[in-house]
Amino acid sequence: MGVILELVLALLWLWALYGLLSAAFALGFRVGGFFDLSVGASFLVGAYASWALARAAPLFVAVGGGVLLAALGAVALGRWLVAPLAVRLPPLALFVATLAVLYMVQALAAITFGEGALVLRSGPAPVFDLGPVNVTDIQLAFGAATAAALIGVSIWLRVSRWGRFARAVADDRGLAALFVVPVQGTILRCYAVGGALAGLAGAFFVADRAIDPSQALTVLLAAMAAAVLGGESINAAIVGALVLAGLETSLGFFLPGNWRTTVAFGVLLAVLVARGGGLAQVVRRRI
Amino acid sequence: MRIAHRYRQPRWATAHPLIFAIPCSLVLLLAYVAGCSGDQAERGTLRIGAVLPLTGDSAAWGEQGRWGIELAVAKVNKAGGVGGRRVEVVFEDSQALPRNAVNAFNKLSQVDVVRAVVGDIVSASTLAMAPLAEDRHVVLIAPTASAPAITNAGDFVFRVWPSDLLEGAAAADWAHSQRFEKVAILHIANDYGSGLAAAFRERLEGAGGKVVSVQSYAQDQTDFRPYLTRVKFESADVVYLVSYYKDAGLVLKQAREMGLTTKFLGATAVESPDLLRLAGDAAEGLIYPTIVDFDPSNPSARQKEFIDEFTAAHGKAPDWASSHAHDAALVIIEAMRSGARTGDEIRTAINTRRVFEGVTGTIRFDDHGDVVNKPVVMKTVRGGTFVALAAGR
Repeated sequence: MGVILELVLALLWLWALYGLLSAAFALGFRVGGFFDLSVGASFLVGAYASWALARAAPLFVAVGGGVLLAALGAVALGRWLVAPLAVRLPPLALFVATLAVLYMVQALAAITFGEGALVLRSGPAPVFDLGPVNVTDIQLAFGAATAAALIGVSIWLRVSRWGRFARAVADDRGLAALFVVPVQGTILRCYAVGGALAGLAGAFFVADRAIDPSQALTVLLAAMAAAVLGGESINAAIVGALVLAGLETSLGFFLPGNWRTTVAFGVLLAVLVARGGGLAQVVRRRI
Repeated sequence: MRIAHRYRQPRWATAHPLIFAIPCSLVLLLAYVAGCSGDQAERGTLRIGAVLPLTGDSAAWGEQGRWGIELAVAKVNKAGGVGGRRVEVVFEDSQALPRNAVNAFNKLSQVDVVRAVVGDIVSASTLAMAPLAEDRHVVLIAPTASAPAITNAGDFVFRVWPSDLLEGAAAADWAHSQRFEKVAILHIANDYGSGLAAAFRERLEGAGGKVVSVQSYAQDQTDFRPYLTRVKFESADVVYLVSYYKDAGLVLKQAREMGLTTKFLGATAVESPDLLRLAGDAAEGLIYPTIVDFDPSNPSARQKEFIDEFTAAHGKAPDWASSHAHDAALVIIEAMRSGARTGDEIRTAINTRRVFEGVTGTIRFDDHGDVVNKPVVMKTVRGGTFVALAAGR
């Protein structure tokens, strides 16, 4: 029983990480119309800003500051890089441009903070004994923050004015513009939300594990896979993150390390071959 | 008429062969002259290469290795160089990744035209460069790569750190002596990890010990909870953890957070201040074998001089990476002192002399280019420092 609970908890923490990033990625993809790799840059900004702020401020203030900086950075990127380029360049060029941004942020992080791994707190975090399993304060706080953030974004997209604009832009940008939807404003708000989600994932990462500049690409690839596995929408991307986290966790228990990734991504390919629209197409429901 | 035109050969196809031979010869001649003039431009220096993880996860080792090599070369140059010529080192970054190491080696051997290279710190990168060293007759001396496969990696490949067969056997002997009934192995999925894990397992099972699980993890892994859950499930008495310091720090931290009370037996690569920074209290009690040819707590006169100069230059004490990188460079320089300049000559000089003296003591190469006769002791983390196990008790 204890072993199963340990695996479930491991799955939840991995889901929180992948869920935040895949939601950020799916949001950018839906409204921007291209694979936006700057999500990885926002992840790094959130992680390193939280680490730097935590030197002088309480943990929750540092994390809040990290998330805010990641959101502001994403908006700046959307306003002064993606928007001007999107007018004259195809999606592939935008993809490459955001890849360049990711590499630049990686290099800047290495120059500023060094190549070594950084942790928010040295050593084990305080734990709450829940009988057969332990949960750290970081895990509890970020589990709650992640759930609140993802549910909040989902509600925002469904009921708020800007959320409805975002869905309209995602469905058909030209038609939305005809109905006087402020397309650029909507996209920038989505960038802010996506940056904040990725920044929260970065803060979680540096608090629970350890961050170094090379980590961004690793987690971003997993998040992209989760988003593609889910398909079509943000909620589907979060479900895709759950499936990928479940596969990686359970396979980590049974299989050697390299097989864990191979099988998990093999399942991704199988789903895509069987259903090109991902899991959303499997359940035949557009969320 | 149109048909005839269609089959008419272009003029270049019917030209005299000399039309092509002359420009081609000129290009080759120019390239040769350029190469010679490059050599002449560098006549005042002898150039060696170094491939180290200067960035990435293992940058702490690469930095130490670089400083060790720079110190060795600075001392040689200060004393007049080699045959009156200054020694220069061209550093390239591998990030401890094989593909980067191959690119770095290609650049060093083909663009910088070095004939001897120090590298790499990790086994996987060293093994990736070994076939190129063999093919191009470039001497490759690994400072700390320990995978058993390096023994037969080629005639041009040497190392100043002993094979994992030595360390794995020492770890297995210690585990057996402690009468652990259930031993789990968790290792990084690369040449270093699998080589050391295999050496450990073979020795332990040969002595009657029982390995209950063998798990490996990818090099970029940061979440070890599924693997540690397996350890918990198997009720292992001890985990033999073959990892680098960053992974080890995270494993120990996450194990403590999960409430796992299993003992951890590590590998030499865990000995880094960064392990203590990452794992904090969770590192206490970690036991590992290490080669004690360089022990800052009990240095020889030559080691003390090295430690003092290194610390004065960088504000940090040298570790096993810097001391062995220093000696790898020293072996090349000593071979060059005999007049060896090409890769073949440097290899022959090393094989002829066989025995060198460095800050890690006597370096004696066997027929495979492996260093032999190195002592091993068990160490532990106690009070936030790395101490010999006997002294810690």
